[in-house]
Amino acid sequence: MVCIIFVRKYIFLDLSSIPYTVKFFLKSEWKNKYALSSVFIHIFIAVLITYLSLPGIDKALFSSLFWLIVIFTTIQGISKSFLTMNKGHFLYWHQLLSPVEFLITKLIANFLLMFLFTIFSMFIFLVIHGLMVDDIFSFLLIAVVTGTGISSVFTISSSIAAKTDHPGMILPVLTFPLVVPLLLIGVKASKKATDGLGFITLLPETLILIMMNVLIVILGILLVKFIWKE
Amino acid sequence: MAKIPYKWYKILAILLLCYTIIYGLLIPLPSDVGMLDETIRNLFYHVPMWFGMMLILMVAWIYSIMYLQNQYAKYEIIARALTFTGILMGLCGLFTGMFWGYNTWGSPWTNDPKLNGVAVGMTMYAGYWLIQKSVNDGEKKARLASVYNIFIFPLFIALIFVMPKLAKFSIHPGSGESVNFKTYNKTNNMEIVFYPAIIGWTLLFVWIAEIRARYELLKQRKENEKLFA
Repeated sequence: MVCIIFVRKYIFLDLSSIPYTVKFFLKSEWKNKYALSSVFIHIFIAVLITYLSLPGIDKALFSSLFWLIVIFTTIQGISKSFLTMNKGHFLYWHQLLSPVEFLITKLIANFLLMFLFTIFSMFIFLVIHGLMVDDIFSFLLIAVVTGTGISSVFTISSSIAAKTDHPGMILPVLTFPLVVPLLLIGVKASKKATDGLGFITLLPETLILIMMNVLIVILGILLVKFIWKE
Repeated sequence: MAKIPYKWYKILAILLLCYTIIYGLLIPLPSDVGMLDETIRNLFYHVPMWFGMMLILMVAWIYSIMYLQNQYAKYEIIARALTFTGILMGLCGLFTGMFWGYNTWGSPWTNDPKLNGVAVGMTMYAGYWLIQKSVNDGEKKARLASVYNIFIFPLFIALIFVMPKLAKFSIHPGSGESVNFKTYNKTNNMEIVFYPAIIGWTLLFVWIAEIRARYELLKQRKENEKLFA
Protein backbone atom coordinates (compact mmCIF):
# COMPACT_ATOMS: atom_id res chain seq x y z
CA MET A 1 0.00 0.00 0.00
CA VAL A 2 2.77 2.39 1.07
CA CYS A 3 4.67 1.35 -2.04
CA ILE A 4 1.78 2.30 -4.30
CA ILE A 5 1.50 5.75 -2.70
CA PHE A 6 5.23 6.30 -3.15
CA VAL A 7 5.18 5.13 -6.74
CA ARG A 8 2.28 7.42 -7.59
CA LYS A 9 4.19 10.27 -6.04
CA TYR A 10 7.37 9.62 -7.96
CA ILE A 11 6.15 8.42 -11.33
CA PHE A 12 5.17 11.88 -12.57
CA LEU A 13 8.63 13.33 -12.05
CA ASP A 14 9.87 15.95 -14.44
CA LEU A 15 13.06 14.45 -15.78
CA SER A 16 13.67 16.88 -18.62
CA SER A 17 16.52 18.70 -16.88
CA ILE A 18 18.50 15.55 -16.16
CA PRO A 19 20.54 15.26 -19.40
CA TYR A 20 21.89 18.76 -18.93
CA THR A 21 22.87 18.15 -15.31
CA VAL A 22 24.53 14.85 -16.19
CA LYS A 23 26.47 16.67 -18.87
CA PHE A 24 27.46 19.31 -16.35
CA PHE A 25 28.72 16.76 -13.83
CA LEU A 26 30.74 14.91 -16.46
CA LYS A 27 32.21 18.20 -17.66
CA SER A 28 33.26 19.15 -14.16
CA GLU A 29 34.84 15.69 -13.80
CA TRP A 30 36.74 16.33 -17.02
CA LYS A 31 37.84 19.76 -15.78
CA ASN A 32 39.84 18.55 -12.80
CA LYS A 33 41.74 15.92 -14.70
CA TYR A 34 44.03 15.07 -11.80
CA ALA A 35 41.15 13.31 -9.98
CA LEU A 36 40.07 11.27 -12.98
CA SER A 37 43.57 10.32 -14.03
CA SER A 38 44.56 9.41 -10.48
CA VAL A 39 41.91 6.66 -10.53
CA PHE A 40 43.35 5.27 -13.78
CA ILE A 41 46.88 5.35 -12.37
CA HIS A 42 45.59 3.73 -9.19
CA ILE A 43 44.07 0.89 -11.22
CA PHE A 44 47.26 0.44 -13.22
CA ILE A 45 49.45 0.29 -10.12
CA ALA A 46 47.10 -2.13 -8.37
CA VAL A 47 47.14 -4.49 -11.35
CA LEU A 48 50.92 -4.20 -11.57
CA ILE A 49 51.25 -5.09 -7.87
CA THR A 50 49.09 -8.19 -8.34
CA TYR A 51 51.21 -9.17 -11.36
CA LEU A 52 54.47 -8.73 -9.48
CA SER A 53 53.33 -10.57 -6.38
CA LEU A 54 51.34 -13.34 -8.09
CA PRO A 55 52.97 -13.91 -11.50
CA GLY A 56 51.16 -16.98 -12.83
CA ILE A 57 47.54 -16.75 -11.70
CA ASP A 58 44.91 -19.22 -12.86
CA LYS A 59 41.38 -18.60 -14.06
CA ALA A 60 39.73 -19.08 -10.66
CA LEU A 61 41.94 -16.40 -9.11
CA PHE A 62 41.55 -14.11 -12.12
CA SER A 63 37.95 -13.05 -11.62
CA SER A 64 38.16 -12.64 -7.83
CA LEU A 65 41.31 -10.52 -8.19
CA PHE A 66 39.66 -8.46 -10.91
CA TRP A 67 36.66 -7.60 -8.72
CA LEU A 68 38.83 -6.88 -5.69
CA ILE A 69 40.82 -4.36 -7.70
CA VAL A 70 37.69 -2.82 -9.23
CA ILE A 71 35.95 -2.15 -5.92
CA PHE A 72 39.04 -0.95 -4.06
CA THR A 73 40.14 1.46 -6.76
CA THR A 74 36.83 2.86 -7.99
CA ILE A 75 35.43 3.71 -4.55
CA GLN A 76 37.56 6.85 -4.52
CA GLY A 77 36.55 7.90 -7.99
CA ILE A 78 32.82 7.35 -7.45
CA SER A 79 32.46 8.73 -3.95
CA LYS A 80 34.67 11.79 -4.18
CA SER A 81 31.95 13.77 -5.98
CA PHE A 82 29.90 13.56 -2.78
CA LEU A 83 32.71 13.73 -0.26
CA THR A 84 34.23 16.89 -1.70
CA MET A 85 30.90 18.73 -1.63
CA ASN A 86 30.63 21.09 1.30
CA LYS A 87 27.47 22.48 2.85
CA GLY A 88 27.32 25.41 0.43
CA HIS A 89 27.37 23.07 -2.57
CA PHE A 90 24.54 21.05 -1.11
CA LEU A 91 22.45 24.16 -0.55
CA TYR A 92 23.18 25.37 -4.07
CA TRP A 93 22.06 22.12 -5.66
CA HIS A 94 19.06 22.03 -3.37
CA GLN A 95 17.81 25.24 -4.93
CA LEU A 96 18.19 23.94 -8.46
CA LEU A 97 17.04 20.33 -8.25
CA SER A 98 14.83 18.17 -6.08
CA PRO A 99 16.68 15.45 -4.12
CA VAL A 100 15.28 12.71 -6.36
CA GLU A 101 16.41 14.48 -9.51
CA PHE A 102 19.84 15.01 -8.00
CA LEU A 103 20.15 11.35 -7.05
CA ILE A 104 19.09 10.19 -10.53
CA THR A 105 21.61 12.55 -12.10
CA LYS A 106 24.37 11.29 -9.85
CA LEU A 107 23.42 7.68 -10.52
CA ILE A 108 23.62 8.17 -14.27
CA ALA A 109 26.88 10.15 -14.14
CA ASN A 110 28.47 7.62 -11.80
CA PHE A 111 27.26 4.75 -13.95
CA LEU A 112 29.07 6.27 -16.95
CA LEU A 113 32.23 6.80 -14.90
CA MET A 114 32.06 3.26 -13.54
CA PHE A 115 31.61 1.92 -17.07
CA LEU A 116 34.80 3.72 -18.08
CA PHE A 117 36.73 2.45 -15.04
CA THR A 118 35.55 -1.15 -15.48
CA ILE A 119 36.46 -1.23 -19.17
CA PHE A 120 39.84 0.30 -18.44
CA SER A 121 40.68 -2.08 -15.59
CA MET A 122 39.57 -5.04 -17.70
CA PHE A 123 41.80 -3.88 -20.55
CA ILE A 124 44.81 -3.41 -18.26
CA PHE A 125 44.13 -6.74 -16.58
CA LEU A 126 43.96 -8.60 -19.87
CA VAL A 127 47.08 -6.89 -21.21
CA ILE A 128 49.22 -7.52 -18.15
CA HIS A 129 48.00 -10.93 -17.00
CA GLY A 130 47.39 -12.31 -20.49
CA LEU A 131 44.15 -13.19 -22.26
CA MET A 132 42.55 -15.59 -19.78
CA VAL A 133 38.88 -15.00 -20.58
CA ASP A 134 37.35 -17.49 -22.99
CA ASP A 135 34.05 -15.70 -23.51
CA ILE A 136 34.98 -12.05 -23.59
CA PHE A 137 31.55 -10.62 -24.44
CA SER A 138 29.81 -12.40 -21.58
CA PHE A 139 32.58 -11.21 -19.25
CA LEU A 140 32.06 -7.67 -20.48
CA LEU A 141 28.30 -7.94 -19.96
CA ILE A 142 28.71 -9.24 -16.40
CA ALA A 143 31.30 -6.55 -15.71
CA VAL A 144 28.93 -3.82 -16.84
CA VAL A 145 25.87 -5.17 -15.00
CA THR A 146 27.75 -5.73 -11.74
CA GLY A 147 29.50 -2.38 -12.18
CA THR A 148 26.13 -0.67 -12.43
CA GLY A 149 25.01 -2.20 -9.14
CA ILE A 150 28.29 -1.35 -7.44
CA SER A 151 28.20 2.24 -8.65
CA SER A 152 24.63 2.76 -7.40
CA VAL A 153 25.51 1.30 -3.98
CA PHE A 154 28.59 3.54 -3.85
CA THR A 155 26.54 6.59 -4.79
CA ILE A 156 23.83 6.05 -2.19
CA SER A 157 26.10 5.06 0.67
CA SER A 158 28.52 7.91 -0.05
CA SER A 159 25.58 10.31 0.06
CA ILE A 160 24.88 8.97 3.57
CA ALA A 161 28.55 9.08 4.57
CA ALA A 162 28.99 12.63 3.29
CA LYS A 163 26.55 13.82 5.95
CA THR A 164 28.47 12.27 8.86
CA ASP A 165 31.28 14.03 10.68
CA HIS A 166 34.17 11.88 9.41
CA PRO A 167 33.14 10.78 5.90
CA GLY A 168 36.52 9.39 4.84
CA MET A 169 36.63 6.93 7.71
CA ILE A 170 32.96 5.93 7.68
CA LEU A 171 32.56 5.43 3.93
CA PRO A 172 34.36 2.06 3.47
CA VAL A 173 32.63 0.57 6.51
CA LEU A 174 29.22 1.59 5.22
CA THR A 175 29.90 0.61 1.64
CA PHE A 176 31.78 -2.68 1.44
CA PRO A 177 29.29 -4.83 3.36
CA LEU A 178 26.49 -3.59 1.11
CA VAL A 179 28.48 -4.49 -2.01
CA VAL A 180 29.12 -8.09 -0.89
CA PRO A 181 25.82 -9.66 -2.11
CA LEU A 182 26.29 -8.12 -5.56
CA LEU A 183 29.92 -9.08 -5.65
CA LEU A 184 29.30 -12.72 -4.70
CA ILE A 185 26.98 -13.17 -7.67
CA GLY A 186 29.27 -11.14 -9.94
CA VAL A 187 32.34 -13.21 -9.09
CA LYS A 188 30.41 -16.45 -9.61
CA ALA A 189 29.10 -15.29 -13.01
CA SER A 190 32.43 -13.93 -14.23
CA LYS A 191 34.06 -17.23 -13.26
CA LYS A 192 31.61 -18.93 -15.59
CA ALA A 193 32.51 -16.43 -18.30
CA THR A 194 36.24 -17.03 -17.91
CA ASP A 195 35.61 -20.73 -18.34
CA GLY A 196 33.58 -20.00 -21.46
CA LEU A 197 30.40 -21.85 -20.48
CA GLY A 198 28.28 -19.77 -22.83
CA PHE A 199 25.82 -16.94 -22.38
CA ILE A 200 22.81 -19.13 -21.47
CA THR A 201 24.42 -20.28 -18.21
CA LEU A 202 24.92 -16.65 -17.15
CA LEU A 203 21.30 -15.65 -17.68
CA PRO A 204 20.00 -16.33 -14.12
CA GLU A 205 22.87 -14.42 -12.50
CA THR A 206 22.40 -11.50 -14.85
CA LEU A 207 18.70 -11.34 -14.04
CA ILE A 208 19.32 -11.49 -10.27
CA LEU A 209 21.91 -8.72 -10.59
CA ILE A 210 19.54 -6.51 -12.57
CA MET A 211 16.74 -7.12 -10.05
CA MET A 212 18.98 -6.30 -7.09
CA ASN A 213 20.11 -3.16 -8.85
CA VAL A 214 16.53 -2.06 -9.44
CA LEU A 215 15.74 -2.73 -5.76
CA ILE A 216 18.71 -0.65 -4.61
CA VAL A 217 17.82 2.26 -6.91
CA ILE A 218 14.16 2.24 -5.81
CA LEU A 219 15.16 2.20 -2.13
CA GLY A 220 17.58 5.05 -2.79
CA ILE A 221 14.95 7.14 -4.59
CA LEU A 222 12.45 6.60 -1.77
CA LEU A 223 14.91 7.49 0.96
CA VAL A 224 17.05 10.23 -0.56
CA LYS A 225 14.86 13.08 0.61
CA PHE A 226 15.49 12.10 4.24
CA ILE A 227 19.24 11.99 3.67
CA TRP A 228 19.22 15.42 2.08
CA LYS A 229 17.19 17.42 4.55
CA GLU A 230 19.29 20.01 6.37
CA MET B 1 7.39 6.32 27.76
CA ALA B 2 8.58 3.24 25.99
CA LYS B 3 7.45 1.12 28.87
CA ILE B 4 5.57 -2.02 27.90
CA PRO B 5 2.35 -1.97 29.97
CA TYR B 6 2.48 -5.66 30.86
CA LYS B 7 4.60 -6.80 33.77
CA TRP B 8 3.84 -10.48 33.44
CA TYR B 9 6.06 -10.94 30.41
CA LYS B 10 9.14 -10.53 32.60
CA ILE B 11 7.93 -13.23 34.97
CA LEU B 12 7.09 -15.41 31.97
CA ALA B 13 10.61 -14.89 30.58
CA ILE B 14 12.21 -15.94 33.87
CA LEU B 15 9.98 -18.98 34.27
CA LEU B 16 10.48 -20.14 30.66
CA LEU B 17 14.26 -19.68 30.86
CA CYS B 18 14.47 -21.60 34.14
CA TYR B 19 12.45 -24.38 32.51
CA THR B 20 14.65 -24.26 29.40
CA ILE B 21 17.94 -24.40 31.25
CA ILE B 22 16.97 -27.03 33.82
CA TYR B 23 14.85 -29.34 31.68
CA GLY B 24 17.08 -28.73 28.66
CA LEU B 25 19.94 -30.37 30.54
CA LEU B 26 17.81 -33.21 31.91
CA ILE B 27 15.78 -34.17 28.83
CA PRO B 28 16.59 -37.63 27.36
CA LEU B 29 18.00 -37.33 23.82
CA PRO B 30 16.69 -39.14 20.74
CA SER B 31 18.76 -42.16 19.85
CA ASP B 32 19.64 -41.23 16.25
CA VAL B 33 21.47 -37.90 16.54
CA GLY B 34 24.76 -39.50 15.45
CA MET B 35 27.90 -37.41 15.82
CA LEU B 36 25.99 -34.51 17.39
CA ASP B 37 25.60 -36.52 20.57
CA GLU B 38 25.16 -34.40 23.70
CA THR B 39 26.01 -31.14 21.87
CA ILE B 40 22.49 -31.16 20.42
CA ARG B 41 21.43 -29.50 23.67
CA ASN B 42 22.94 -26.31 22.21
CA LEU B 43 19.79 -26.27 20.07
CA PHE B 44 18.07 -24.60 23.02
CA TYR B 45 20.60 -21.74 23.12
CA HIS B 46 21.92 -21.21 19.59
CA VAL B 47 18.80 -21.42 17.41
CA PRO B 48 16.47 -19.24 19.58
CA MET B 49 19.07 -16.44 19.37
CA TRP B 50 18.64 -16.21 15.60
CA PHE B 51 14.85 -16.47 15.71
CA GLY B 52 14.68 -13.71 18.29
CA MET B 53 17.23 -11.59 16.46
CA MET B 54 15.22 -11.68 13.23
CA LEU B 55 12.05 -10.71 15.09
CA ILE B 56 13.71 -7.88 17.03
CA LEU B 57 15.48 -6.48 13.97
CA MET B 58 12.25 -6.59 12.00
CA VAL B 59 10.42 -4.62 14.67
CA ALA B 60 13.33 -2.15 14.73
CA TRP B 61 13.01 -1.82 10.94
CA ILE B 62 9.31 -1.02 11.27
CA TYR B 63 10.05 1.58 13.94
CA SER B 64 12.67 3.17 11.66
CA ILE B 65 10.08 3.49 8.88
CA MET B 66 7.61 4.93 11.36
CA TYR B 67 10.22 7.46 12.51
CA LEU B 68 10.84 8.68 8.96
CA GLN B 69 7.11 8.97 8.38
CA ASN B 70 6.20 11.12 11.35
CA GLN B 71 9.45 12.25 12.98
CA TYR B 72 8.76 11.31 16.61
CA ALA B 73 12.11 11.08 18.40
CA LYS B 74 10.65 8.34 20.58
CA TYR B 75 10.34 5.94 17.66
CA GLU B 76 13.98 6.38 16.73
CA ILE B 77 15.09 5.75 20.30
CA ILE B 78 13.06 2.53 20.39
CA ALA B 79 14.45 1.48 16.99
CA ARG B 80 18.00 2.14 18.18
CA ALA B 81 17.55 0.20 21.40
CA LEU B 82 16.00 -2.73 19.50
CA THR B 83 18.75 -2.75 16.86
CA PHE B 84 21.54 -2.70 19.43
CA THR B 85 19.82 -5.53 21.29
CA GLY B 86 19.51 -7.40 17.99
CA ILE B 87 23.25 -7.00 17.40
CA LEU B 88 23.92 -8.31 20.92
CA MET B 89 21.67 -11.29 20.24
CA GLY B 90 23.44 -11.96 16.93
CA LEU B 91 26.80 -11.94 18.69
CA CYS B 92 25.47 -14.38 21.30
CA GLY B 93 24.21 -16.60 18.48
CA LEU B 94 27.55 -16.35 16.72
CA PHE B 95 29.52 -17.36 19.81
CA THR B 96 27.25 -20.25 20.76
CA GLY B 97 27.45 -21.37 17.12
CA MET B 98 31.23 -21.18 17.11
CA PHE B 99 31.33 -23.21 20.31
CA TRP B 100 29.04 -25.79 18.76
CA GLY B 101 31.02 -25.86 15.53
CA TYR B 102 34.30 -26.33 17.40
CA ASN B 103 32.92 -29.42 19.08
CA THR B 104 31.24 -31.01 16.07
CA TRP B 105 32.97 -29.80 12.87
CA GLY B 106 36.38 -29.39 14.52
CA SER B 107 36.80 -25.69 13.84
CA PRO B 108 34.90 -22.61 14.99
CA TRP B 109 34.57 -21.20 11.47
CA THR B 110 34.02 -22.98 8.17
CA ASN B 111 33.57 -21.68 4.66
CA ASP B 112 29.81 -21.96 4.68
CA PRO B 113 27.31 -19.59 3.02
CA LYS B 114 25.24 -19.19 6.17
CA LEU B 115 28.21 -18.29 8.36
CA ASN B 116 29.70 -15.90 5.82
CA GLY B 117 26.33 -14.22 5.29
CA VAL B 118 25.99 -13.61 9.01
CA ALA B 119 29.51 -12.21 9.20
CA VAL B 120 28.78 -9.71 6.43
CA GLY B 121 25.41 -8.85 8.00
CA MET B 122 27.03 -8.16 11.35
CA THR B 123 29.49 -5.78 9.64
CA MET B 124 26.49 -3.97 8.11
CA TYR B 125 25.05 -3.46 11.58
CA ALA B 126 28.50 -2.37 12.77
CA GLY B 127 28.13 0.40 10.18
CA TYR B 128 24.79 1.32 11.80
CA TRP B 129 26.53 1.52 15.17
CA LEU B 130 29.27 3.69 13.64
CA ILE B 131 26.73 6.17 12.23
CA GLN B 132 25.15 6.45 15.66
CA LYS B 133 28.52 7.18 17.25
CA SER B 134 30.02 9.48 14.60
CA VAL B 135 27.32 12.14 14.15
CA ASN B 136 26.89 14.78 16.83
CA ASP B 137 23.70 16.45 15.64
CA GLY B 138 20.91 14.40 17.21
CA GLU B 139 18.20 14.84 14.60
CA LYS B 140 20.54 14.27 11.67
CA LYS B 141 21.95 11.20 13.37
CA ALA B 142 18.46 9.80 13.83
CA ARG B 143 17.60 10.40 10.18
CA LEU B 144 20.80 8.91 8.72
CA ALA B 145 20.68 5.89 11.02
CA SER B 146 17.04 5.20 10.15
CA VAL B 147 17.75 5.44 6.44
CA TYR B 148 20.70 3.08 6.76
CA ASN B 149 18.68 0.67 8.87
CA ILE B 150 15.92 0.58 6.25
CA PHE B 151 18.58 -0.15 3.63
CA ILE B 152 20.41 -2.94 5.37
CA PHE B 153 17.58 -5.06 6.74
CA PRO B 154 16.38 -6.41 3.33
CA LEU B 155 19.99 -7.08 2.32
CA PHE B 156 20.59 -8.87 5.63
CA ILE B 157 17.54 -11.06 5.02
CA ALA B 158 18.80 -11.78 1.51
CA LEU B 159 22.21 -12.71 2.88
CA ILE B 160 21.13 -15.12 5.61
CA PHE B 161 17.99 -16.63 4.09
CA VAL B 162 18.16 -16.41 0.29
CA MET B 163 21.88 -16.91 -0.39
CA PRO B 164 22.23 -20.16 1.63
CA LYS B 165 19.15 -21.53 -0.13
CA LEU B 166 20.76 -20.78 -3.51
CA ALA B 167 24.07 -22.35 -2.53
CA LYS B 168 24.62 -25.92 -3.67
CA PHE B 169 26.46 -27.17 -0.62
CA SER B 170 26.31 -26.24 3.00
CA ILE B 171 27.17 -28.14 6.16
CA HIS B 172 25.04 -25.88 8.30
CA PRO B 173 21.65 -27.48 9.03
CA GLY B 174 18.60 -25.87 7.46
CA SER B 175 20.17 -24.64 4.23
CA GLY B 176 20.91 -26.15 0.82
CA GLU B 177 20.54 -29.93 0.77
CA SER B 178 21.97 -30.58 4.21
CA VAL B 179 20.33 -32.35 7.12
CA ASN B 180 17.39 -30.84 8.89
CA PHE B 181 16.42 -31.20 12.50
CA LYS B 182 13.04 -32.52 11.40
CA THR B 183 14.80 -35.74 10.42
CA TYR B 184 15.91 -36.34 14.00
CA ASN B 185 12.85 -35.31 15.90
CA LYS B 186 10.46 -38.08 14.95
CA THR B 187 10.73 -40.17 18.07
CA ASN B 188 11.37 -37.67 20.75
CA ASN B 189 10.13 -34.70 22.64
CA MET B 190 12.79 -32.05 22.11
CA GLU B 191 10.18 -29.65 20.80
CA ILE B 192 8.66 -29.25 24.24
CA VAL B 193 11.86 -27.49 25.31
CA PHE B 194 12.71 -25.87 21.98
CA TYR B 195 9.60 -23.72 21.50
CA PRO B 196 9.51 -22.40 25.09
CA ALA B 197 13.22 -21.61 24.69
CA ILE B 198 12.51 -19.41 21.65
CA ILE B 199 9.81 -17.47 23.51
CA GLY B 200 11.87 -17.20 26.69
CA TRP B 201 15.07 -15.90 25.09
CA THR B 202 13.15 -13.44 22.89
CA LEU B 203 11.27 -12.06 25.89
CA LEU B 204 14.53 -11.69 27.85
CA PHE B 205 16.09 -9.61 25.07
CA VAL B 206 12.90 -7.57 24.64
CA TRP B 207 13.23 -6.79 28.34
CA ILE B 208 16.84 -5.64 27.80
CA ALA B 209 15.73 -3.45 24.88
CA GLU B 210 12.93 -1.95 26.96
CA ILE B 211 15.32 -0.97 29.75
CA ARG B 212 17.67 0.51 27.22
CA ALA B 213 14.95 2.57 25.51
CA ARG B 214 13.62 3.84 28.84
CA TYR B 215 17.14 4.85 29.90
CA GLU B 216 17.72 6.75 26.65
CA LEU B 217 14.35 8.51 26.88
CA LEU B 218 15.01 9.58 30.47
CA LYS B 219 18.44 10.85 29.47
CA GLN B 220 16.92 12.87 26.66
CA ARG B 221 14.26 14.30 28.93
CA LYS B 222 16.95 15.33 31.43
CA GLU B 223 18.89 17.09 28.66
CA ASN B 224 15.76 18.91 27.51
CA GLU B 225 15.06 20.04 31.06
CA LYS B 226 18.59 21.38 31.32
CA LEU B 227 18.14 23.12 28.00
CA PHE B 228 14.90 24.90 28.90
CA ALA B 229 15.58 25.51 32.61
